[in-house]
Amino acid sequence: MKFKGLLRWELERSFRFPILEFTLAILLYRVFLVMFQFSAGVSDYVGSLPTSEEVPRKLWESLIYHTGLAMVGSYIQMAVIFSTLASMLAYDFSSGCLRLQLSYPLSRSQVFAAKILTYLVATTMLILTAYLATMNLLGGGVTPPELLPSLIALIGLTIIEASYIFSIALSMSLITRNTLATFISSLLMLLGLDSAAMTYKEPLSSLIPPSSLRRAVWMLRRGSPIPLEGIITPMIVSGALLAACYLYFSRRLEV
Amino acid sequence: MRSQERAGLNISIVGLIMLLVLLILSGETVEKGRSFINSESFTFSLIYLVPRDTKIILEVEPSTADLSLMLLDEENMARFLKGQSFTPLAEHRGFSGGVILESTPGRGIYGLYMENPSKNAVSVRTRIIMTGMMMDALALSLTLISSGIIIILISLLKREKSGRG
Repeated sequence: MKFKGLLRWELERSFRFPILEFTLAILLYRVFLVMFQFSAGVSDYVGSLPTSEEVPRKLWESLIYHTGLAMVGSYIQMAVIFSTLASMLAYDFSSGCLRLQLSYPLSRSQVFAAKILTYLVATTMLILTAYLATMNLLGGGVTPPELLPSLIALIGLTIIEASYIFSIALSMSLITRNTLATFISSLLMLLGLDSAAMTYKEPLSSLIPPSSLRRAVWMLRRGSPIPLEGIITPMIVSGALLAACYLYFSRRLEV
Repeated sequence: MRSQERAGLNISIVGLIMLLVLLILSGETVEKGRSFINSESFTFSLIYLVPRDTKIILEVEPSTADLSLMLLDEENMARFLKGQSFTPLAEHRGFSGGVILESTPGRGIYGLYMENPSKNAVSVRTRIIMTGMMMDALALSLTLISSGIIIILISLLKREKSGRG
């Protein structure tokens, strides 16, 4: 079996019935609920008039930041989705599926990469597609090219949040190696971190997603410099956890 | 489950979730705002409206002040801003106290122009009250649900036919 085949198999297995349906239902409920609330006040001008070119730009700016806040605000939904996927990895240990995968003429790095691509990349793409498609549906067209840099920045923040959540859930699956324990522990860990940031405010809220990333979106909206610590901290956490998981998976893991 | 049936199921799920959210959001929604208009000046507000039953209620303080207002759709707003001839969706001249604009707009951006010709500054309290379902999203959700069901049925019929054959 080649890497491409493994990836395809992993995708089909991970999003088998009813996992994809469950993911879609959780995700779309949040997407539609938040996005359809976009209405009313966009911008006010006192004693002056906008130019006719400015009007659609103002609408799209408003829509893009509404979408950006919604994307980084989908923390709980992402936590549930990634905890479910991580618990499926834990299921691979108990079901013997991982033993079978490791018996193929593929390196452990390739098996790990296939899992990361399936769980993290495919799911994040699904989340982004749902939001961006709804945004373009509401805007009645495609995002104007001059606003693409802001949109890309907001997509980047969502990817950082998804990586942070996934890396914690993945670590839990490698620690517990049990389906239910992974789901419960990673969900509790992620919700606990969010709750700690809400309770103790500074400095946790400026370092831990989603509050740190929500703040970054607000700063982008105002055109102020983004607080870097709020972006770098989740990147370091997810990078360190993914590297640790990779090293453990490729060198130490015994199945 | 075959891939065609699964695609149909997923399309139906998208439509069903959209319908569920539309039902949740179909209750009354009120958006509030307040603007101050200086003497012999004006304000121009850009508002995004959706196809629901919409009431725009404007209350002027002091209630004796006279104001003029226009509600413009996207096309007429562009003409107005370019200084060309335009037709407002609604227009009230010299009103005082309060005014209600009622419409079921299409989805899009609208312009609310308010002018204060008097010598005193006024405050305008705006309330946009929306009720009912978003008709465009409702149509889309029903289309998705029915498309999904049709795909599933076609797939099941094909399977039955090939089973007999």
